Amino acid sequence: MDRKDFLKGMAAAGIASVLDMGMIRKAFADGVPAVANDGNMVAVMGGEPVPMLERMLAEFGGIGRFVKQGQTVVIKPNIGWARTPELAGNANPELIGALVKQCLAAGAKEVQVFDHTCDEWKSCYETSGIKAAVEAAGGKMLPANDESYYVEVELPQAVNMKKAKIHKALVDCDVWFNVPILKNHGGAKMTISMKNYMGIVWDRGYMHNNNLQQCIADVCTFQKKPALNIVDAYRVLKQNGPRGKSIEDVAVMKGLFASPDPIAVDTAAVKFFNQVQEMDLATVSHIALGEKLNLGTSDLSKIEIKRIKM
Amino acid sequence: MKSLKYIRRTAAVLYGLAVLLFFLDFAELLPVQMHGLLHVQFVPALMVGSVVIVLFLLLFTLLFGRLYCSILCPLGIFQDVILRVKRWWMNRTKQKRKLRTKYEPPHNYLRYGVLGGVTVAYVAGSAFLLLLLDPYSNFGRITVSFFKPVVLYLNNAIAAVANRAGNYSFYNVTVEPQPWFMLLLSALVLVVLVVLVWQKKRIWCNTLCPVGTLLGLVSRYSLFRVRLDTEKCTHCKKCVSDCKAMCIDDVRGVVDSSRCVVCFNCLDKCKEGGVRYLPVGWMSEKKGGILPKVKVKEDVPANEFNESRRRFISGSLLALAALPVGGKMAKAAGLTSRRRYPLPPGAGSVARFRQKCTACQLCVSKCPVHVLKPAFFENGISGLMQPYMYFSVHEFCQFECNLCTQICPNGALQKMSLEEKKLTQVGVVQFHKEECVVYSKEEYCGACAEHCPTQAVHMVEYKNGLTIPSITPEICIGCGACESICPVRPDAIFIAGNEVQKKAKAPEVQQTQEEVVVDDFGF
Repeated sequence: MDRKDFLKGMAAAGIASVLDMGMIRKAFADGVPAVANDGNMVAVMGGEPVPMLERMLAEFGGIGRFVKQGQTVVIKPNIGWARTPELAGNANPELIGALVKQCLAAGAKEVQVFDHTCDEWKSCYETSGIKAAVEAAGGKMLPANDESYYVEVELPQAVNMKKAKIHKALVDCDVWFNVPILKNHGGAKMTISMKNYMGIVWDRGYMHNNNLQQCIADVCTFQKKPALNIVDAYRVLKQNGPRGKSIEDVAVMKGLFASPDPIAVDTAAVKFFNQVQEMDLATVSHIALGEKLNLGTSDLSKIEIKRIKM
Repeated sequence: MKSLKYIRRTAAVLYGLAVLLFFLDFAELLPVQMHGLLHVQFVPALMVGSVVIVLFLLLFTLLFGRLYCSILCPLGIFQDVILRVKRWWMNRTKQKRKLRTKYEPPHNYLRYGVLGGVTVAYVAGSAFLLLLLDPYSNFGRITVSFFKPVVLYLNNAIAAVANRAGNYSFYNVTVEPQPWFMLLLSALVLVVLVVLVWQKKRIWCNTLCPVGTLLGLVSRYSLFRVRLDTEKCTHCKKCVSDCKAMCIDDVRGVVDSSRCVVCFNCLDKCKEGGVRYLPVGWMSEKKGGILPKVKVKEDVPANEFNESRRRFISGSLLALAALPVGGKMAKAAGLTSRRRYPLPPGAGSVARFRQKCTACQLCVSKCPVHVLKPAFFENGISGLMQPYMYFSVHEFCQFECNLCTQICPNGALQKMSLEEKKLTQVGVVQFHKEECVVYSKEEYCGACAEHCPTQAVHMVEYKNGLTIPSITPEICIGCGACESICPVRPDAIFIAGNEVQKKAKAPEVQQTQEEVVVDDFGF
């Protein structure tokens, strides 16, 4: 699917929402947005973050497939904690910096990066090394610390969370990348690309109180899908996640998986994770709930996966 | 001699502005080390127990008089600003004569009464009067209550415009005004201050301010003093009229150096060169001397503080001093809140903190996440306005932050390194399973454990793949991350403050990284 189709879908959904709900369902049943069904995945391992990113993008046909001249791009890494990169609490700063550079090279007008952090936001941006990396690459760090930066968005496909306040930058952008880090999670079991969506939302308290796993799946129904979900599995937080206690919680696994399909990439990531720490895929129930909402497939045999060892 | 006034004014503007900006700087643009500027404040220096600074200030006063009140006291500088506003207003409305003031006899009962009351109460164990009257802390409270929100709203207005233009060097901040009682109490002081300044300039400093009175006891004997040369005096009263302390008595030819705030305004007013700032002995005692020890009669018309008003004031002060007792009674009657809230790290213990903190609100203003709030009755009645920790979404003590312990000018929050602070237990986690959504709704959550920096709260297997929080209180430091994010806050998991802060057990961690070799994708 290309941008035109996507926009067409969005427009259809917009018109439909004025008319009736049945038509929206029809629009989605028709495969709009169809990114998730465009199932393919590139999995790279064994390299450093930047070369792995470059290789992955090359396999997809280059960043130009996703980012066009003059577009505004949002990158949404996980920057939840005031933790240094070695502690694997946040997405890898080199990876984010390199992605910013790629987008700008592809002609992006502006590359914006934000996360709704858990720890105090400025200390997260700084300690994670992401602010420095993004700014060095020519991108912009956006604040996400105040409710005024969020706008209410309807989530018609959602089960529990029918609307959410989502960061304006994401609502306004032309294309976005979802860049989580692979981590164990005390509550949601795992935090990968679906759980990373929580950082685009203002009211997380609601999610914790209304069946977290369902709400995670719900927010992933946000109609503007990321061009790619890029899972940073270079350093993996295998226990005590998502914050981590010390360096012993971290395993250096040197992986990077990307797909437009969050269900597929999260499924793959859990399987990868299983090699260092046992994790039953079924207990990471937001994945199955997301599949039920047609967000993608957990049957990896159904999609084309390019596996590359560097 | 004119240059002295300008030196005084420049020093006051520089110092006052620096203190003001440090209080208002919400974006941590100014260096943290600027807190050093506050250590010269008299009451904070006393609270810290810094003999060096206290002696220095006393010696400084013994040499130059109460110059402290003109260039180092932020509340004094603030009163001078109010006075400027008055002058501007009177000039504008052509009421210049209203600016003229007369000699005001000292209100000795009041000022020594206040100083005595504050001292006796403090020695008896209540810092409450001191907290109410400390000039520096009052300045802090007024600043944080009224000036800070203005700055924040202004910032947000600029941020709105800048952000729309794609510039994010300004960002929106959530404005959290001080609670109503802080606004009320600060407004009360502010109104009293404005009214007093409008009527009688620096009268606050010579009646209600314990620091002014104490320094006055020293400046009475200071080396340098403002003096009148009675031979040159033509009784034009220009100096009298311009005196901020209203302490020049040209009739007797004396300047009350116990009340003079050394503003130097009078010096260049005298066309005869009859007002001079000189060391004792440079002018013979006959020509001008210190205030004679005769008691000035109350029949001087300028004195409007009559007996009933004095009784009212001393009565109110007594009532305030009695408040801590009331607090104990309230506690005994079970009227205090359901649990103790934690004090900020470094407070030591409730008893210690109560004696050291004068509620200047610096930590409240500077805390990057605003987990520190001024207390109403959360710290007991005598802990009014002192900070305590209140947890809500985004508002919990940051594991990697020890800012409040670094900047407290009173030493009420003892300085501690980040490593020490990470092991300081301000309170202990309590978990009530029945209230937890994992138990009550059988749904995933774990927000508490997710946020816990020491894993004192961690998830354990429950049933059907669900995990439920489990606590290890001895490694809990009471940061409140768990409580802040709990969807059923504060029922399921919360921090119970420690009466005496303890050292937490260090969480067991090996600081080594296990080698993992993975050579397959696993899918």
